[in-house]
Amino acid sequence: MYQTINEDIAVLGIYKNSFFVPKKFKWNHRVYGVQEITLLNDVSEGSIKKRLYSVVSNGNLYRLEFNRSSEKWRIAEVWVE
Amino acid sequence: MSKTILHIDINSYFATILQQENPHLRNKPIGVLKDVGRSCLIAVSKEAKKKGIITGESKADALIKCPELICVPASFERYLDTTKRLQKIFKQIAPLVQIYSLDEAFIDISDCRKNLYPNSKIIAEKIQALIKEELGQWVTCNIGIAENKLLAKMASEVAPKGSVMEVSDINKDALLASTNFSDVCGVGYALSKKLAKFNIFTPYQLRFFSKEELEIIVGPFWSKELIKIAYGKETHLLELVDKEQKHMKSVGRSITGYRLYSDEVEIKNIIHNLCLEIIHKVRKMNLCGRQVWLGLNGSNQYWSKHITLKSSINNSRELIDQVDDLFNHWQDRFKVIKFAVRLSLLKPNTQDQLLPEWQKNEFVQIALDQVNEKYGMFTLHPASIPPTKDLIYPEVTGFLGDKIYQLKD
Repeated sequence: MYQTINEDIAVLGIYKNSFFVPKKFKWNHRVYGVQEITLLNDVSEGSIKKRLYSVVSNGNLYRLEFNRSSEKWRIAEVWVE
Repeated sequence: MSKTILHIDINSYFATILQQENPHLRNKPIGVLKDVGRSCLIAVSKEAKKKGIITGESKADALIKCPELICVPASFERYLDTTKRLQKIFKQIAPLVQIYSLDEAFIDISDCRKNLYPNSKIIAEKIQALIKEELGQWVTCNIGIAENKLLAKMASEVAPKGSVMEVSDINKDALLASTNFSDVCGVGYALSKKLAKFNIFTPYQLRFFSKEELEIIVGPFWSKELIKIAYGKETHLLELVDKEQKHMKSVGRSITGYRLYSDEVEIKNIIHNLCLEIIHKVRKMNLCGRQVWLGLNGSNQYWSKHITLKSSINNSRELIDQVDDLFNHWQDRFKVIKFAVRLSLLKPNTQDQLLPEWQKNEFVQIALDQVNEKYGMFTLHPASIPPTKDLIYPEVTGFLGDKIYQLKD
C-alpha cells in the first residue's frame, strides 16, 4: 500500500532532451539514488502545474512531486509492503 | 478505395499503468479500487483475470477467490494524462485519430497508406514500440487492422494480449464466425441474451436469418444493424465516431456513496457538490443548458425527476436551486446510496445576463471561477456543500464520455 509522506525533499538531476531527469534525492538526511523512473505524468491543480515522478531507489518505489509554480520538490508517497 | 483502420486497445489499462509504475505489483493479481475504502473493483490486472476475478466484482468476493489479491486505489489524473500522451503518439502516425475511450483509439491510415505505410502490420508494431518507449515496457496493447472500425475493434478484442491482428478477405468470415457478441462493439448484454435464445452466438450466424425474421426478434433498428454486423460492415454507432460533435449535449455526474444516506442535509450536500462540478465543466466549455435531471438510488429503490426550463442556465446558484426544487418533489423517501445530476439540452452560451439580479449572480460566479481557476477546483464553494475534506472531485471514467471536455487543448 502507499504511505502518504508529503515532505519537502532536495533533488539532484540532469536535463536530457529538455526534460529534467532526477538522479538523486535527499530525504530525512539520507541520499537516495534513482535507478529508474517508472512513470511520469503532468497534472494540474488550478493554475498550479505539477510533474509527478514515480521512481525506484534500492528496489523501493517513491512518488515524487515537482511543483512547477513554486519549483519545490516533495516526496508524496512511498510504497510499503 | 477501401479504408485501413487501426484500433489500439491498451491491455487492462488501469491495472497495467499501476503495474508499470510500481514493479512490486508486476506479475501479481491486482484489483483497482476507485479510492481507499471503496469495495468495488473498477479494473483488474490480467493476472487477476486468470484467477477468475472480473471487473465490477466486490473486493470481498474477489479476496475469497484470490486471497493474495492486492487492491490499489486508482490514479485518475495520471490515467488522463497518460491518455493525452497516447493521443500525441497516435497523432504522429496519422492526422485522423479518434480517442474512443480512455484506453482505446482508432487511427485511419487510409490516406497515408500509399507513401508512408505500405505495410499496416509494420506500422502497428511501431505504434506498440512507441507506446512502450513513452509509457514503459510493461504497457502492452492489442492492435486490430481492418477495412472498418467494427472489424478492427473486433480483431483487437480477440487477439492475444500484446499482439497485432489484421483482418483480410481471407480471415474475415472466420473472425465473424468465432467471435462472441460480447466482443462485438455495440451489441450489449440484453441484445446478446435475446439472440442467444434463438441460438445465435456469433455475427456469422445472423446471415442465416432474413431482415424480416430479425425484425421480429429485435425490432427494425437492430435488425438493420445486425445484418451489417453479420457481414462485417460498419455500424451506425461506429459511423457516429467520425462525426465530430461540436459540443457536448449534456453534462452529468453520478457518485455511489460510501454508505446509505438518510439525512436530508447530507443528501443535499452531495447533490450540490455534483452541481458544482457540472457547472464548472459547462462554463469551461462556454455552454449553458435548460434541462435539469436528478436521480437517486436506494438499495432497491429508484427515483428521478427532471424539469425543462424556458431559458438556459450555467450558474451554480441556479442549478442548485433547480435541483433543490426537484428534490422537494421526492415523496416516498428512502435511504440513498447513489446520486446523479445532469444538465442537458446544452448550447453555446451567447446570451449576456440583462437583469440586475442575474448579473449579480453571474459576477459572483465569475469571481468563484477566477479563484478556483487559480488555486484549484472548489477552493471557494458555497457553504451548502460538504466540508473540504469530504468534497467530491471530478474523475475520469474508462468510457471517457466527457472527452470533448477532458481532451480539449
